[in-house]
Amino acid sequence: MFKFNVTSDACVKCGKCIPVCTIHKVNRDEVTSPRGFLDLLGAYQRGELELDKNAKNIFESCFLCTNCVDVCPNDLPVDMLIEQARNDIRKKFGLAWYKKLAFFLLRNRNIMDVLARFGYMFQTCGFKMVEKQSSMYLRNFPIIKMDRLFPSLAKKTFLNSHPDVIYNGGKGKVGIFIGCLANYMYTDIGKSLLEILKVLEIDAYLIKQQKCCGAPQYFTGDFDSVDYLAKFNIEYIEGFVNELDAIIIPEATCSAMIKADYVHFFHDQPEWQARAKAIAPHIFMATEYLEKKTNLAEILASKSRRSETITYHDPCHARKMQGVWKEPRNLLSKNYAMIEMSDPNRCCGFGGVTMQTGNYRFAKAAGLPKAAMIKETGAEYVSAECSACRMQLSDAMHGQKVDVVFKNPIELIAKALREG
Amino acid sequence: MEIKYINYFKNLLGSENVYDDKAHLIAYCYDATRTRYEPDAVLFPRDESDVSEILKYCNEHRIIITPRGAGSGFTGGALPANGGIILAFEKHMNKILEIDMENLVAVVQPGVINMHLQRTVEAQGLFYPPDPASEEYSTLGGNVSENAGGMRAAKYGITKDYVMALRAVLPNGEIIRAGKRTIKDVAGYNIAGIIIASEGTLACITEITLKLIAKPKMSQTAMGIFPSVEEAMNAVYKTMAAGVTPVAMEFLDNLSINAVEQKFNKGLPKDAGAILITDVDGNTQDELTQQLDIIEHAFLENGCSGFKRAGSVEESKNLWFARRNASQSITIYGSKKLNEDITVPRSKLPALLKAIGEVSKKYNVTVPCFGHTGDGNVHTNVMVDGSDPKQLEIGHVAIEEIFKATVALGGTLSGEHGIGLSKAPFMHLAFSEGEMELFRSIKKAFDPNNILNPAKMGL
Repeated sequence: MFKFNVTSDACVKCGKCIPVCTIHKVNRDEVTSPRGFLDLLGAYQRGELELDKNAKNIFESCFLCTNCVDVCPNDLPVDMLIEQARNDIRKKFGLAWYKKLAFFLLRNRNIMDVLARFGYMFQTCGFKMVEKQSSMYLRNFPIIKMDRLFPSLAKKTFLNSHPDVIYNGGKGKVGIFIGCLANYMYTDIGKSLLEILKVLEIDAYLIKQQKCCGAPQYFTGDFDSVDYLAKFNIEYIEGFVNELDAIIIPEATCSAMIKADYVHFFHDQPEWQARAKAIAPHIFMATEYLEKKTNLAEILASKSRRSETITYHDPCHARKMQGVWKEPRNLLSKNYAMIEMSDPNRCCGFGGVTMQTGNYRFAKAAGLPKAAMIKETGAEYVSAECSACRMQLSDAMHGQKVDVVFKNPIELIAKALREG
Repeated sequence: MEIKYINYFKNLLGSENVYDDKAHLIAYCYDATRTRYEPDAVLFPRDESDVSEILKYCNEHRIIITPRGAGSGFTGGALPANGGIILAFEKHMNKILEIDMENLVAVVQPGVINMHLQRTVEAQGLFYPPDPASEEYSTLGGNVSENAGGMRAAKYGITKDYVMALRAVLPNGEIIRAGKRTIKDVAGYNIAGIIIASEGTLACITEITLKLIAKPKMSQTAMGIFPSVEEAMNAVYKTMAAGVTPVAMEFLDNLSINAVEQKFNKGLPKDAGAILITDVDGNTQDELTQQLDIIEHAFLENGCSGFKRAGSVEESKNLWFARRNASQSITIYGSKKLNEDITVPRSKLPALLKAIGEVSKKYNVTVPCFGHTGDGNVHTNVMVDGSDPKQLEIGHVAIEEIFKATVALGGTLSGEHGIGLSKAPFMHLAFSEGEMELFRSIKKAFDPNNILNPAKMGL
């Protein structure tokens, strides 16, 4: 565990992190800024600040976008400290029932699969479907705000819809770690990825026993769950990783979690940290792998130019945590006209489970300028290789009546291949 | 703070703009000096009339107020040294109110971040030159209160050269206007001039009218390598005298060069006594080349052993890298940096650097220097082991001696950071008792009850 006061003392208080901070942009107050968080955590460690309801609200207001880490002259890991503080909060206050339920289901995929099936059958009772965006919004429900857009459940999960291995000609073999949102909700992403691999004649190995990467639990401070899930996934992946060319993930958050955050999380468990480090070089975001390691760009260039326009949003977990931002643009621009929005690197405001529930007002406020800059481009699609960004941006655009459709770049690339 | 005061403020501003919880008191207790003084409450005024009501009430009840922008100052100007209220402008009063394209003027609230204004006006082909190193995060209200400078000062001047008018609230709640949106204005005392650099001790600034200029179309960077600091310093004022005013003329001494090199391995000349990095700007390439030719000539005549012109934006960035990263790199010489921003007339730079060298030798402390030679502003860093009280004490004695040498050369204690708390003990070195008394009288005229940011500037 980190000593909060060590990092807090290392902060030179320059203030560079403040204007880039997503929550400070929404709530311009030093208590909800990276410099404030660090100082308050130091005070908490010294016993000067009690971890009361007020402090809990403060530490739960961080979006974990890591903009601050990016500009900090001392590279202070603000995000990791916040995650650890949330672990203390969870220990003191416990988790809300719906978070407990969600994290239980994410640990136990077989139960989740059955529930998802029921959910699919009955979701139309409570929600109005928006087919075009694989989304829905509430008809009437007591707790959740009306008119909020949610992803809808798929009829059959991605992993249960396909065999373990899909042989496409053996030019290569990659494992697919699909991630929960793309498995249960946005299943077109996986389908599209399989289409692309087929064209490339690369065999696809579905990593079927995968468990949730642990990101939602990490951001909420449920370290026990993270420990369990990360160890399970590392051990599981170790079993086959050397027989594959790579493991590809069409989701920024899952990829960043497995590639980078597992290493961070195990900073005080050296054996597990070493094992996390060993699998990290095999993990790629899907567009990163396809652009760097295959001839997809060449094949796309041979297909026709399309009339649709795309604006690309950079997920925090792709650009800032993994340095992936050129690759999806490079692939998409082969067939689509790209229009950059004014600040593609600005955080969408998803922020994790707590932000989307208890602090939804912050998420909503952070989403507003993003929806506005997407609208301003006049593009037909907004794309980002991240289904958390998709949930947040679709909801933000829905709230602002912005009629731009969100697609994962993998879906758009498959479309360009399919339609020639 | 007494509950009746808190209730009054909650009634006035709404409870969402009044805080006295422990978290707020901690988060508003520091600035970039890392010194800590907890306030008793934090208020977020929504507009000028809020500021006026707050000050009026505080004046009646003798409650101390410290205005605060971004809390990024280096001398403690925004620290509530005697408790009381922090008046934080970051939350609401952060809007650009007007950009007047006809008179080339911008009107802003005090909480606007410097870079936000720069980007906004540059999108319209205009230019707000003052660029303190904190430009990405410091506020214009803070910039005016501290009279912030920056790298471009050599050619374009500092904050005071761009303030045309202010609106401000006096401690009794009176709203005043100072200055006009005119180039010429000779009516009455220059009140804006007194409020600039007053560090929030006289009035709370609520609106700033700033001069803008046309943005030069292009700029180019060059670097010169010198065997000694003296030669580099001579080259600086010879360049200026030769008829070129570079936008920036920055230097790093040998210690700073080696610190950057040790940390980043950029292939800098480790044996050089100093390097000078300079920027020129203009509207045509010919104009830039002409200026660089003159600079190169002046450099070479003064011992420069290598002159490099950047051919691209990338190369410019590379040349600037050493200067931009000097401040954080020199921490290799000691955990605690006693950082001063003394300034002398340009021609006295060689003498000043020599004096600093002597102090360094005398007290056996490492003193890397870098900074804005174009305007005679040297960042002097006495590096000590922060955990050793004895070293700290020696460091402070060395600083005092450097201040004395600076004043003797006709210089000033601070080029851009201000006096605040950190340099208050040294004011007597730079000002006579009569001059200090005049300062105190001015303070009393504005703030008879001493409620506004007391204990600052050694008054």
